[in-house]
Amino acid sequence: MTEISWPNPTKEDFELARKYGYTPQLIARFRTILGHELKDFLKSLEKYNRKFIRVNTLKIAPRDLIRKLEKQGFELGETFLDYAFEVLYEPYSISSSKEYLLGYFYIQDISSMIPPLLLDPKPGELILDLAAAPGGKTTHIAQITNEKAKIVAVDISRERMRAMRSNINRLGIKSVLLIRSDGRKIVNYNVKFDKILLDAPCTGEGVIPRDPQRKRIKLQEYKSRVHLQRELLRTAWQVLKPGGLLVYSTCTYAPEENEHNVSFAVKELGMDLIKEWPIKTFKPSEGHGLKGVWRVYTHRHKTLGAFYAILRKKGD
Amino acid sequence: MQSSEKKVIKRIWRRPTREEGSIIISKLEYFGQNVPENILRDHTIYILEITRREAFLVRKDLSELIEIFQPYSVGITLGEFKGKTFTLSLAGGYLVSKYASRKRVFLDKEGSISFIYGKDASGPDIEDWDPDIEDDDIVIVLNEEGKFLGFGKARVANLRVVEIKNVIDIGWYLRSELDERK
Repeated sequence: MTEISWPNPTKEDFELARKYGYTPQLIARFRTILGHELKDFLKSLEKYNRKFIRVNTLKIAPRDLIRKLEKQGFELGETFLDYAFEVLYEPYSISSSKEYLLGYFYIQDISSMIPPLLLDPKPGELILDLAAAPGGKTTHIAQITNEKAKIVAVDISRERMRAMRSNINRLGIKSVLLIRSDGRKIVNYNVKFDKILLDAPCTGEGVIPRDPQRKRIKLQEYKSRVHLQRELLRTAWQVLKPGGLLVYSTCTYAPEENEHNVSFAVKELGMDLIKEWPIKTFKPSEGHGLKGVWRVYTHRHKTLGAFYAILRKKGD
Repeated sequence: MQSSEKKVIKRIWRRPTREEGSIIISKLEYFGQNVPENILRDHTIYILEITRREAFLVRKDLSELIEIFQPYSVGITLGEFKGKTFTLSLAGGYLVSKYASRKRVFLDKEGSISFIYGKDASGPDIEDWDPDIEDDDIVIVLNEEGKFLGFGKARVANLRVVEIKNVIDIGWYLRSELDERK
């Protein structure tokens, strides 16, 4: 099992931990990553409540949807993506609007819209989404390729898979196969993929604003997550075609689940790290102690926290 | 003594039998002669039979992958068989409504909102309808802009559609999400 060492908390770390409800160890670790930004960061996690929608361009043009929603009193703000919008005001819950029920949009944090863009899926490609449910990123990939790619989406959770099936029906996506399985078993099918998205199961520190219980994650959970993530990385590498692209992402700040895993993929699996950030209209932060990987922080980027890396399997 | 072993359900995907195929086509044609052609262009149908017998609409080029993976689900659910009756799903209804030319009822704004909350529609809520609707027909229910709201059962009196009983509506997506969270 992977060794994880955390710094010892200072007196101030204990005070902040008590104030915000974290374990002191987690505060100490955030301090090593963020230094003097720590308090701003912790405050931003308490306040974050932004909501975004991704227009399902397979069903409706963004401007037509916006017109319909604005007519009902919704206020929407632009983002770096011309088909994603921030919900600034809701006269009633946008998820009970008929436009939602008709599958015209998907509610998703802007940080979750980034991995499919990094994957840069193309028509005709065979794509694997290795921890897919409830399907936000899978359906985004289908949308980017105008349903011209073949997408295999895998997840182990029965409940989340049921939700994914409902989302796919609502959005009207016909290019996705859902496999309910442990992602590590995908090697048994002897199928090789052009591109793989591994949005890995993680400790979810980045989604603390939505799930405050994650403030008190135990060290053991970090260890077991890292173990699973590395096995999934190895699986992804095994089923990726030579020259194929792997986007590795998480919604956590833990370096063990992020930069350390990317180093594992480079050193142990021999993958190449693609260090150029391809999205011109959005600038993330650099990785923690590793160049060419990317992070978004709630206090800096006004999104939920996330980590992204683009890797390529050696070969033509 | 109960066995502690988990029962493994094998999912077998297959093409519709000739009979199933013709039942599905007739159902699509019920809403318009051109519906099957439009829906099946670039797509094909697979059947999964476990406790229910469901039909799925998928892109044609996924066939090979379906054979390999025998997935949990694929594409959208087009509908479900019960004996020799085929009932379209909400996702199937949405697609059919884009090409339908028969058996359609249009509701006004208030009627539409009420319908997607699971209510029936009657009298003044019913703005327009296709002339081929007969009493007890299953109809596609649309809002004033022609957007799909669900399926209903029509009651016709004196050549007028006087009531639409809600069979299923798109509010189901939200209600099922809320049920999942409970």
